Amino acid sequence: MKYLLIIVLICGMLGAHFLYRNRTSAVPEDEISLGKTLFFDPLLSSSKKISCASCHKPAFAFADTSALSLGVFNRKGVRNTPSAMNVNNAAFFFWDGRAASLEEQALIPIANPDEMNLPVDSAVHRLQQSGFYQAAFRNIYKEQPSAKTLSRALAAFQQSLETSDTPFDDWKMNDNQQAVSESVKRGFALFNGSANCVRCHFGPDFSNLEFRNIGLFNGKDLNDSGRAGITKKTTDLGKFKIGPLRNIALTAPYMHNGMFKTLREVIDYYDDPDKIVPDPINRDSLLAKPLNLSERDKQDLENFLKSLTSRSLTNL
Amino acid sequence: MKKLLYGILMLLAAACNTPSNQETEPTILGEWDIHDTYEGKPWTLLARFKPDGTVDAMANGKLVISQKFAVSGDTIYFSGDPNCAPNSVGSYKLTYFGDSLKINLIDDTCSVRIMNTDKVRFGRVKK
Ligand code: HEC
Ligand code: HEC
Repeated sequence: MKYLLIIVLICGMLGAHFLYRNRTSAVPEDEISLGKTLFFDPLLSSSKKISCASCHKPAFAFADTSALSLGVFNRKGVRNTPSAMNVNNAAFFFWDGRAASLEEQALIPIANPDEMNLPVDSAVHRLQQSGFYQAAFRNIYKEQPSAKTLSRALAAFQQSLETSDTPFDDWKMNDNQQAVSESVKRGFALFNGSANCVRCHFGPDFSNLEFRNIGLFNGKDLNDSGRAGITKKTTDLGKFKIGPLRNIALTAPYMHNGMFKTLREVIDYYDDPDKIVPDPINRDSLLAKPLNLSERDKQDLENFLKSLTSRSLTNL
Repeated sequence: MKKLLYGILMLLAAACNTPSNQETEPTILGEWDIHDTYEGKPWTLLARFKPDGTVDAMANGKLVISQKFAVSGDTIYFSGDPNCAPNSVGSYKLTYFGDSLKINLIDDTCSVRIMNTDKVRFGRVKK
């Protein structure tokens, strides 16, 4: 009986796989579906084994579950993979903000030796060799695949990944008091008030257009200088993009280096940063004093952060 | 001292917002919106002024900012904008025209708030 169930399950999985393959092999007719196909296609890596989705995993809000992701030949990157969702309000991309647009961003991982390791020209050549992609690009862009249209399609797909169907949004947008618990409401009040979070994390995705240093740089074991690597300014040492917080409960581990495994670890850090990194360089004055959060405060903040998870992702 | 003054203003404002007043005089409480276009696409900002003295502003299905307000006569005081210095309060004049509302700068030192608030014209959202 048990075996029968397993066989049924396996058949179900194979069936789903087959369906999925079938669906994706129809030639995409718009930018978003073309971008989606490209996002999941390992053809864009030298080993033909790594796709964007190998690191930006759909079930985890298009982020990765390990601190550092593995690229081609199991090469390890140097930073944590952020979510590729809710990117429409971002003014720049990567932890150090080195890409100004999604189009510019999209080609960088393809060529990065630690990620997909395929020169962009070779990637474009592979697409041009494929009857499937030739048809799709001609159909949508009226020209054969190019670096420009490749990046446009990838950008369009990511731009379609907006989520505002969270319990938090239901509470705020629809004034639905039942959408979240009292704990979430207290957590938001803390976030928006005495815990200072909102002074950095604000706007529609709880990020903003600045780079800040929360103290995770000491020039020793924590030696990623962040924004300073791009601007070469000492005032930018240890500054990073303010992590947007939508779907944050799904995107552990946290921070540019993935050093915190849980949201509780993040909250404990903000509560008393010196306890975890006693020798930071250039840490923001907003984190100068411990917050002295109570156990209930911490739970409330955590529950608020969890209320930012899209219902479409919870039901996966 | 500044805090005390602000506290008094808040109390005053609360006193002015008693229900008996609401029936005769226009009230900021409730929902107001702005329709505009941004990069060729229609864009709506919804502001919900709540009895507890918070105002939530939302655009494209997402909360953009949740800050505090207090009303005294035809003056509104805003505070708690993360773009501004902590404890910074801006004061603006309210002018009602039937179903719409105009907000004009009286006194504020926070340039981002001035940009987002001064000369803004809202329409009352009809239920
Ligand atoms: C080997 C893992 C890996 C692969 C493959 C990969 N990425 Fe990433 N992605 C990362 C990491 C790590 C970062 C952060 C790097 C940094 O900040 O320096 C990142 C950052 C991003 C960001 C910036 C997000 C933000 O909020 O700043 C976007 C967008 C993105 N990747 C899209 C893509 C696309 C599109 C592809 C495929 C063409 C891709 N990634 C392939 C690991 C990967
Ligand atoms: C001084 C500005 C500042 C303040 C205040 C601040 N943050 Fe952050 N936050 C950041 C920056 C910058 C990062 C990314 C830092 C890094 O990776 O080194 C970040 C990262 C995070 C992350 C991880 C994001 C990710 O994708 O890994 C979470 C969660 C977070 N903050 C929550 C909070 C909470 C909760 C508070 C209030 C208790 C808070 N933050 C206060 C600037 C701030």
